[in-house]
Amino acid sequence: MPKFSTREILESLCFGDSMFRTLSNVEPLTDSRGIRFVAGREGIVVAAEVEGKRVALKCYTRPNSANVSLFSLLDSIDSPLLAKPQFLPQELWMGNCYTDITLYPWIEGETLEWTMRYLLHNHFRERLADLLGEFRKVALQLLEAEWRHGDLKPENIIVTPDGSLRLIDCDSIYHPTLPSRGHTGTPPFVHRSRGDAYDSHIDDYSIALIITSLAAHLLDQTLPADKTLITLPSEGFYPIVAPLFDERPHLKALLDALYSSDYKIDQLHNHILNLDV
Amino acid sequence: MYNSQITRANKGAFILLLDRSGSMAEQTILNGNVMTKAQALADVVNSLLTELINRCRKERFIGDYFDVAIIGYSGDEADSLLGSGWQSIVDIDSMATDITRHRLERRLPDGTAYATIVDRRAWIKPYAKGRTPMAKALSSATRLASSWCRKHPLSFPPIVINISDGEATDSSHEQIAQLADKLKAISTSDGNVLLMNIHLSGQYENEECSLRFPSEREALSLGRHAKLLFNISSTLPELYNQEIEEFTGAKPPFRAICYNAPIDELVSLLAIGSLTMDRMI
Repeated sequence: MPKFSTREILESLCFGDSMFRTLSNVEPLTDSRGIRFVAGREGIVVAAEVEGKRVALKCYTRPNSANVSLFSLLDSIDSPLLAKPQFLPQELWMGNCYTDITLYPWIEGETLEWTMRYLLHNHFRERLADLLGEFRKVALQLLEAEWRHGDLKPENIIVTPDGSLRLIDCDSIYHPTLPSRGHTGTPPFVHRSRGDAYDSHIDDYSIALIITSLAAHLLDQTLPADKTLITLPSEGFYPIVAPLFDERPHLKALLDALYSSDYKIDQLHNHILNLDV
Repeated sequence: MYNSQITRANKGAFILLLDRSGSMAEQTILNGNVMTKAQALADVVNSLLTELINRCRKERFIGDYFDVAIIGYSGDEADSLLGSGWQSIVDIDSMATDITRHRLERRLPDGTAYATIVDRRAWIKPYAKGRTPMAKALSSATRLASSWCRKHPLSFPPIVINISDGEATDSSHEQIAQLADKLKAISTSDGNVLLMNIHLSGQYENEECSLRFPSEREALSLGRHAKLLFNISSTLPELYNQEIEEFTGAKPPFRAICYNAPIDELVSLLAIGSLTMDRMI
């Protein structure tokens, strides 16, 4: 199966509409560096306007790498957390074959990762508390739904201008009707013992990681601002962070869960519901 | 071993050793365009640098995931072609570079042809003069790999890719083998340095004699120089198997050598050599 470089994809976009099978009036957005995009494991996501409407085009580095049944499922999920993608099979001509594209509605805002870095760097404590509040809401909504994100990490969460959060890049979604797709998620956000397990606990670890990290920074402003995910076991901050949670049994339980041998977190919903920050 | 993910804390590293000897002035064809081997090599290496930068591209910054060193060897010297020694991918991105303008053509399945002009960055310029001091290049790589591994003891080990169209002129086969062994003995906790050799075919060489990632059995029939390159090349860890199986149709284990490879294949070979880009998180 051919594999395309990111440069080949970007150069295909330079030909304009002619390379698209069905889309027309496609205008990639540019900045001082050229076409605006971010890279991921499966391809690149390009900021563009299609028919005058702002979108995010996910272009895959391998043809036929998107999962058709996944996108029909995503289309059936009605949640304010998710931006519904439109799957366009065999859409972009690469010179010798077509590659798939997924078109996501554009969500205005910044990633949670960038927002955390910005707030920590500038000591905007109040806004950090708001962010934790919003993430708590998202976590509860996720745990009450029958689906999970599957690759939950700050890069895949957009903080919109009104402060609410939206989830993007949902290709790894867990749903009880979907078969397992092997290992999903991004390693620092995946519990070491999870392996290929594909179940409703798939987001447990990353939820606990993000909540405890936000809470730790909120409770102790002297923690290093460049360590956004300060409770990540590999960061070695447990002895400093754990005392902050001594009088906060729910946060302490989440912190300890990050170090447990089980990727499933017992009573996760209850701990988040009663979060003691 | 060879399990480490590439993160900003545990970066990855590439060392490219580029033959810039006189024979690289020979004509070849890359993507349908006639050019010197030196020009083709520069184009392909510049593409690899662009790809590395693109793959590290985040929302508002380039993630500092890789260090790269490029050594060019010709005449009596092996010189760093990207500043001095190691450069981070962030620094490489911020370097001032030449911009080269390329006319691209695409033909749709219905036969309609389209053309466009694209700009590409060029860090490496073509050069072809003198002899082939490969031993000096391997010694430079050893120094670079050694210092890098000391600074990044937990990282995926450096991948050294040596691209040449000829034999070393500054040492015997035995000396080259010893230098390569010294280089491959350097390690991080995740494994030893991986050495890949890509030998480019000449204009008049029979490409049917090409070998890509051969097995031990295939190596039995190799000539003396090919055998040397086979012997000094690393056996690739499992993570490369799928890509190479797709590329060659053969079965692992694979040795990291391509012999008499047409220059048009260099892009694919470097894509395989730089597969650790897929281990970025």
